[in-house]
Amino acid sequence: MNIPSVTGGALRYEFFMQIRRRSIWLVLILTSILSVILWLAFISDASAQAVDAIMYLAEFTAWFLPVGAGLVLADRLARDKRLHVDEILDTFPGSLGARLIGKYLGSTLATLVPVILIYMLGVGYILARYHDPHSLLLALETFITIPLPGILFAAGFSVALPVILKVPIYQILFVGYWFWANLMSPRFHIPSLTGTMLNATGPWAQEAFFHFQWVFLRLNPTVWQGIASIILLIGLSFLAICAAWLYLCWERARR
Amino acid sequence: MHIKIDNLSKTYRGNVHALNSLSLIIPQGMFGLLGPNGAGKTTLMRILAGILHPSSGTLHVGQYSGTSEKGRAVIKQILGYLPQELGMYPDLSAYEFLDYVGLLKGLKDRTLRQQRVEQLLEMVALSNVARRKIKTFSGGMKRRLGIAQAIINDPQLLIVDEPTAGLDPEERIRFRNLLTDLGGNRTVLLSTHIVEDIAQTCQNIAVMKSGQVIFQGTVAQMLQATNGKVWLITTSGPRPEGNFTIVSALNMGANVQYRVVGNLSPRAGAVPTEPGLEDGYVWLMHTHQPQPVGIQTR
Repeated sequence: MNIPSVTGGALRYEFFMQIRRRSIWLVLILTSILSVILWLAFISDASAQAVDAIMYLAEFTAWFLPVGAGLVLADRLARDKRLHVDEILDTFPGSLGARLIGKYLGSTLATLVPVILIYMLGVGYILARYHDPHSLLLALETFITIPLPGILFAAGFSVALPVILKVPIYQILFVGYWFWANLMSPRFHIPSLTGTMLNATGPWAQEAFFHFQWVFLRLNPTVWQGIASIILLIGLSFLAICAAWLYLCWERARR
Repeated sequence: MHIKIDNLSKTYRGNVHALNSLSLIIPQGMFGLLGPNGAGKTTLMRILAGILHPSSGTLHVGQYSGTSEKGRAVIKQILGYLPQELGMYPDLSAYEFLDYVGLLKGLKDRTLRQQRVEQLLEMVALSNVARRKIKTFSGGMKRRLGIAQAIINDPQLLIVDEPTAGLDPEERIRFRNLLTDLGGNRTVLLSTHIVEDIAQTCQNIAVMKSGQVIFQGTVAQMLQATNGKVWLITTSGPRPEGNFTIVSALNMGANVQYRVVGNLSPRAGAVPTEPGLEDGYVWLMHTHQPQPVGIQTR
């Protein structure tokens, strides 16, 4: 059975099914409101430059939009069981792993569409305000290195973990985890992952590649550490998908 | 392609014996599997489809073993399955759903796949609603789409589990005719508790009860076994009692005519009559007790 064609087919149709959901647009617009509020507050200063605006746009996009992405992706795998589609899918010759990768990629790509559109609205505002065409290239670079790895990280776990957790429970735990692991300020003296490379909001990449300090962290990372943080986040998301695949194979063998 | 099942058992957690040393040979063509709810029909279907693993016993689909991972993988390539509870993605159209299934079943060539999808939609009379979302479909339309997805890869083995449950009579007839057209060179295993579905489509049948096969043969053989066991009792008095099962009661005004199946002692008003398949089924259920089951271990 041709794995690329199964993966491609799953990617295509999972994309279609996800992009058609009105709820993903609603959830992402709502979560972007927090980003917009913080962003506008930070660039309201007249001395703020286009570079600052782009950097804060990327930073605050990375803070909240992955939460929205994780929430709307949490039901993608569990849905097959809920709709009883899993019974016929299990009789198909195509590889389960290929389908799972296709599902992850397709539904994540669809979820990225509103994220990118919202981000582009911010970039459009910056272009209109500062008239600096170089902002476009910087906006692209910052998007790829700062919010995108975090979104892929959130997506991987959101597709995978509901295999063992009920979707609403996962969603609640995920939101709690996100704020604890990524946005816990040191001033609260609560141990968290915020200062580690597991911080999925991109502070390592932000400081390493663009030398732009994160709001409440001082990391001083090297470029290699910036690269390592991105690889770690994306790698963990694929590991989560692999773990889900192994679990599903084990569950199948037990039936 | 025929299917050979030898001493197949399936025990679920909690020591629930769904199948008890079941042995069966399913020849090519239309084959009916009858049995009451809980007889083990769906468990057997799921084992044949590779969704469940048996606790013990062997199963061969043609030359392929259905109890090994490798064999199951090969069987899935020649299999079409329509489950009892059919799930589909409601936001896809009929065309999109079939196209997706075609991709997952290995129909890589886009042009050929599209032609196949259009051909199937025509066959199941859904061409005019091909672009409508599945969530707008009636139960009968979903069933027809279900059979289309099952045969998109032109399978040699088609397993259909309770396909007409919940359908109105017209839809049921349409579906039966569709299934009959699909017989031919493939093995079609039709599992149902609706006797009429079997009577209209299958020559070879098996009857299951409590995880075992209590009859395997042709419809004619089953009817022959029921000869002399079916009676019409017309009475104006109380419901007749005895060692028999009342299959139907027809109110004729002053009298009620009861159709009964069983061993009848001579009585007034009892007239022997030709058995039908439903009578044969009732007679089997009445007379056959399942064999006692020991503790099953893997």
